[in-house]
Amino acid sequence: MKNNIRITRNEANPSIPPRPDFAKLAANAAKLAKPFYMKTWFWGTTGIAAIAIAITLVFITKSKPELVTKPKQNNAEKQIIQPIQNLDVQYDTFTVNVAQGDTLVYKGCTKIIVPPAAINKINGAQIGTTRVVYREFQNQTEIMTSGIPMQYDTAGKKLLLESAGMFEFRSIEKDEQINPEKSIEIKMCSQHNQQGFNWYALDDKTGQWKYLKPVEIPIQEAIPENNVVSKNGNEVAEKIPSVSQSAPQNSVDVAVLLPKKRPTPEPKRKSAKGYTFTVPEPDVPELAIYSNLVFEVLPGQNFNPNSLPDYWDEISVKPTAVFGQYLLTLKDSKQTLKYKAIPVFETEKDYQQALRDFKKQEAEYNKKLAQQEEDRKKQAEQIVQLNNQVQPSTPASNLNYSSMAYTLTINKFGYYNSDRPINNISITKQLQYEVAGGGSNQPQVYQYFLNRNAVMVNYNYSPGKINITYNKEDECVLVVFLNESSSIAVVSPEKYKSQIVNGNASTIAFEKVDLSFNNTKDLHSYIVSKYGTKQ
Amino acid sequence: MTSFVMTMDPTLNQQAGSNHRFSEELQWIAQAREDLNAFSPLYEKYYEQVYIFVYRRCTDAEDCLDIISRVFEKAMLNIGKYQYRGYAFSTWLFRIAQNELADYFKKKNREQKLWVRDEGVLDMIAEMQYDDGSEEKIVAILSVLEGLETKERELVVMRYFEKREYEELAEIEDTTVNYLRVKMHRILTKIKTNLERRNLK
Repeated sequence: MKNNIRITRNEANPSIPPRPDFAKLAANAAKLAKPFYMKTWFWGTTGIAAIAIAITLVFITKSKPELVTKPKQNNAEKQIIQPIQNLDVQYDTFTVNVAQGDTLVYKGCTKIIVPPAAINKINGAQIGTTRVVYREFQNQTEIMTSGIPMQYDTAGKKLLLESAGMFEFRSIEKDEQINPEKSIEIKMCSQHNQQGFNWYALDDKTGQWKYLKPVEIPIQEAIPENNVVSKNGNEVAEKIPSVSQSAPQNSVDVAVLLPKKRPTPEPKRKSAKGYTFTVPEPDVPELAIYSNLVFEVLPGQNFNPNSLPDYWDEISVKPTAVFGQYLLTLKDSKQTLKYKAIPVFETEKDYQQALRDFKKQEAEYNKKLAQQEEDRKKQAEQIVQLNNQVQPSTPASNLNYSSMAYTLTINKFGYYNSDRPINNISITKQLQYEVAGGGSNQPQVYQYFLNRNAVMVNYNYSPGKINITYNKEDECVLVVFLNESSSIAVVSPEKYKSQIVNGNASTIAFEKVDLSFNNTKDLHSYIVSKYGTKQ
Repeated sequence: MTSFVMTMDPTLNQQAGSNHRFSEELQWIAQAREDLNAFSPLYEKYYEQVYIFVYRRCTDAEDCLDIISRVFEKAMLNIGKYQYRGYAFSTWLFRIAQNELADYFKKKNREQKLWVRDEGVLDMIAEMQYDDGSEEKIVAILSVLEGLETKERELVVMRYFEKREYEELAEIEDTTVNYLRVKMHRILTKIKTNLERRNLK
């Protein structure tokens, strides 16, 4: 429909006319406030509504339920913002024999025990069979792509939740509920067997996680691999592949990564007024390619060469946090002095030789780096190909998934999470970020913890600016989703550590990954193979 | 965002009794639930803001006045449903005004006003990470704005031209800040794509 719009550009605020009399307004409001059943519209609309309801009921009872994309229907679901729609975790659909009770098995492990009559209509009517959907979020990638918030507000303090597994369980029919007089038991398999996790439910009204109870960790009883049907013989809607089919990630060896930064500082000539020291055998491997190297003291330090002795017992250097800069230590029986210094060459001949050595090494290094990138791409493609051979409903993370089961009894459909809050994430830094080579990215930067099953979402507070909160021990990859393709750009854990945690970078560059991901499983396999997880 | 919800008069009264920046206003609201005449100070306090809000969206001055009256009448009628969430009462009035305006445009098929300010367009240009704010680009953005869905256009107006914070927008739109940030980002991406189709980079 064409919009009927008039643009008014830079129009000043209007002069405000006198307010109409409040008493008149209040009288009008009072008139409108008479009981609804006394109003003429009531009887007209009631009649129309009654007919409409009757017609709708006839259609509803004849139509078959279909799995549709769920609308954002409550505050809890409004909080769920998926970065890329097609990367969301897929549901498994089950037909449930409600009348007799049923046991559903998800991914060959998690059990959903539905007692007889445990699901009914919201109006209390009994049902014979129904269809339900269930899915789990077991790893950081699934948490990230699902868009489920992982922040927990407690006493005004915002904490990040580390998950031992999350699930969503609901009926396809909107007018069904878990019978208030019954409950459903979920034995959710988890890879985590540590203590300290609690159950939380996502509150429909507030959209916040609500604490339920501590998680108890019994040992999961073994479920035969071929037991993929419900107790009453109803087939699970999507067939579950055997575990051996879903093990691509272990079949790929991850190469030892070369540091991206070049290892040796570029040679420099000694400056005209510079003061140099010869270090007999500098214990600095990256400078080993150079001969006749000396160290020049950097200006701006309290350094007076005239007051120094001619002879030192020990002269040594070690690298500093600044690339190409070294700490020069001069020691004798009376004193130890330390100065910042850089490696230089005193003669033109030595400098030219060093330049040749440097260029040769750099060429070799770049060649290795290119080869490594090529290998990495091949590995990632191999993983994606292997994953594509697996049935779509089994996440690659299920390899070690069936060792433990956490049990929760629920009396409401929705999202449930076994989590523990992480307390010590407290250092906050503001950063400008950009994607190398440009490209439009989403307004969220995901802080993907490699050593925890956790993801923190950092929102832009102005273009390209985010607040990153962390502690020094955690290892993270930063991820942004790129708009135009199902692709990502990342900041590697090494760069995250050196530039954010240990450095003071004010701007951080994300590097694009030259792959598109069709599903969460591929993305997870890629991240695991490239960076590994250390949980 | 710390927020708390009050649905019952006793809670509202407790809050009104505390040393709170909206305590006086909350007291008026609590009283207005008992007696419509007690709504008068709220009407006096917020008439001007609601007038400007409506005037920026509606081209017919007389219709504007009708809409404003209906906003306050609806507010009085539904004051019992008002929930305080840490923001001024005006955010609730703006929400009612938005609904009234939507209803008015739908029923009467009247011309809508798109109230824009150049500085707001320049802010959008900066957020879209363009270097220049040429007149050509401003005009093009306004033209793209015309073609957006009403809801999207309304968000842009409130955020960039009326300079409302995301927290206030979330309250007016009855949604979350995160949802709005993402929504706004997607709107800007849509505008940017449209501009690029016109070779305006």
